[in-house]
Amino acid sequence: MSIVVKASTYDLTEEAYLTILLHAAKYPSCTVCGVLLGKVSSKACTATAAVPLFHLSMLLAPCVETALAQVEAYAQQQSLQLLGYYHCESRFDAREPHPAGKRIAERIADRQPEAFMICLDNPKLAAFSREGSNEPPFELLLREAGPKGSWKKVPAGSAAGSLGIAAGGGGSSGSSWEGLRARFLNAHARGMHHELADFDEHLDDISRDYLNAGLLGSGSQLLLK
Amino acid sequence: MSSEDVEEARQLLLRYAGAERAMPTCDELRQFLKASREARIRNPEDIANYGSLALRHYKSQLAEEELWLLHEQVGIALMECGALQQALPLVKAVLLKFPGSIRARRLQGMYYQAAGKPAQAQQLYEELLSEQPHNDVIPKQLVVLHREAGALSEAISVLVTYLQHYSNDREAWEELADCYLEAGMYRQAAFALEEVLTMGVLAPLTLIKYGDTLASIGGAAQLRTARAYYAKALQVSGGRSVRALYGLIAVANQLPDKDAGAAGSAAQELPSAAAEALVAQYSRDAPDKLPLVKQALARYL
Repeated sequence: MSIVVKASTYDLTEEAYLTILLHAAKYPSCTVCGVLLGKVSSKACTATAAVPLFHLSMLLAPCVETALAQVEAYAQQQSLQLLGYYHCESRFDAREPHPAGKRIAERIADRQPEAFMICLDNPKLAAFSREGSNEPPFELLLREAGPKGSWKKVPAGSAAGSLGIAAGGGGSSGSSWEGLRARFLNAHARGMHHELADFDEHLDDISRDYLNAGLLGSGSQLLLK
Repeated sequence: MSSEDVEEARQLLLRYAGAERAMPTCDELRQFLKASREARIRNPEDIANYGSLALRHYKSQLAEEELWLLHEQVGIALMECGALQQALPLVKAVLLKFPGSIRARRLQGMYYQAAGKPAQAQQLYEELLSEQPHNDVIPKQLVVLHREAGALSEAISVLVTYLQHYSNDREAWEELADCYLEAGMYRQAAFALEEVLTMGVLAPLTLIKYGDTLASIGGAAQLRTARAYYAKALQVSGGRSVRALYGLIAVANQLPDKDAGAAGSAAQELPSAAAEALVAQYSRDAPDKLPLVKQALARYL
């Protein structure tokens, strides 16, 4: 697999991972997706926020364009980079993200060559939620070099890249997958997934905040200046 | 019953959350469950929780018909939550009470699907269809089954056959459009949505979805037609639909200037008018997003 030498560490804060998990939990019968914002350095891509976009309109170009235009404006105003895309297929047995998801990731990668994709693996998510496994339910996909390179899964432990948990703004100590799971199950039990809003909801009611400011405690990363 | 009624009933029940021994009354539970059934709201967590409460504590107070409607409703909700162990007794009870019923056996098929046994479910559905070839519910269950398996062409095939007999089934045409969209067959999706639109009821969301589909196909002709549908949706929604307003912007972004319309024409002024309308709405309802919207729409403000 020839991947252009890039950052080999792809970290998301706990808040970003939680946002992804809660978005998927809110719409279990839909394919959900969103984007990742953060900073790129020579060694690492660090996503400090996940912005939930769609559970209905991912396949419709005007909706995607509208969302990306607004998120790009947000990124610019916050001095962050749009550096990734997340995706969770509705079908339990899905092996690959839908081509439309890959297209959105490509749009992001065209502007940000270091961009990466993170997919939720449903069987792993089921095991993770039932506390049957400590294996994180996330998979990293990177784009192959060359024009129209396709997105390929990077196996855990590969030199090409690995997913990790970045130290969060809230200063949560000892971030681990077990810790993330505990926080997720707790948030789900409290019904926080119902409070999360995505861009699809925003299009139906603009008072719904797809940036989810204040949802996850250390919302300082998500509030507009 | 509307989704507002459902939400109102749900808020009543939320008052009991966390209260140690207080329990909602039978009527409060029934109201919520009935409203959810009639508004066809999909909220498996709440329905499973509240429905189970009702069945456990108030069974004797329920009328016969309502009791069995609840069995079905709560059974399905439990299955959606993955609580198969709790769903099973409900499914069995329904089958026992209504042995020959297609509706009961459909519930059994749904249980097979939830339990990860699609082959058994498919066999059951096909058996039911051979008994009642023009049943209008079982084909839809087969569509769900095929979509779950990622077998989009099978799902489409079942829907197309079904629609030959039930060509007025709006929901089925919309489901077909969704299958085509998922399969990347945008032109076919557009045809399916046209069938819905010819039925006369001009729901803004359908008009917008049609516009979105055409705009996804691309090309000046499709974009201009999409524009007309967004404009119609805007009109039908009293100038308020945010999706339609953004749709007009998206089309304007894609159309080369020469296709935008004659200078000074309504077509050319549409995106500016849409941008102004969006700014007005955001100022009122989402002022924190106003800077983002102004930047994203800078071209038309």
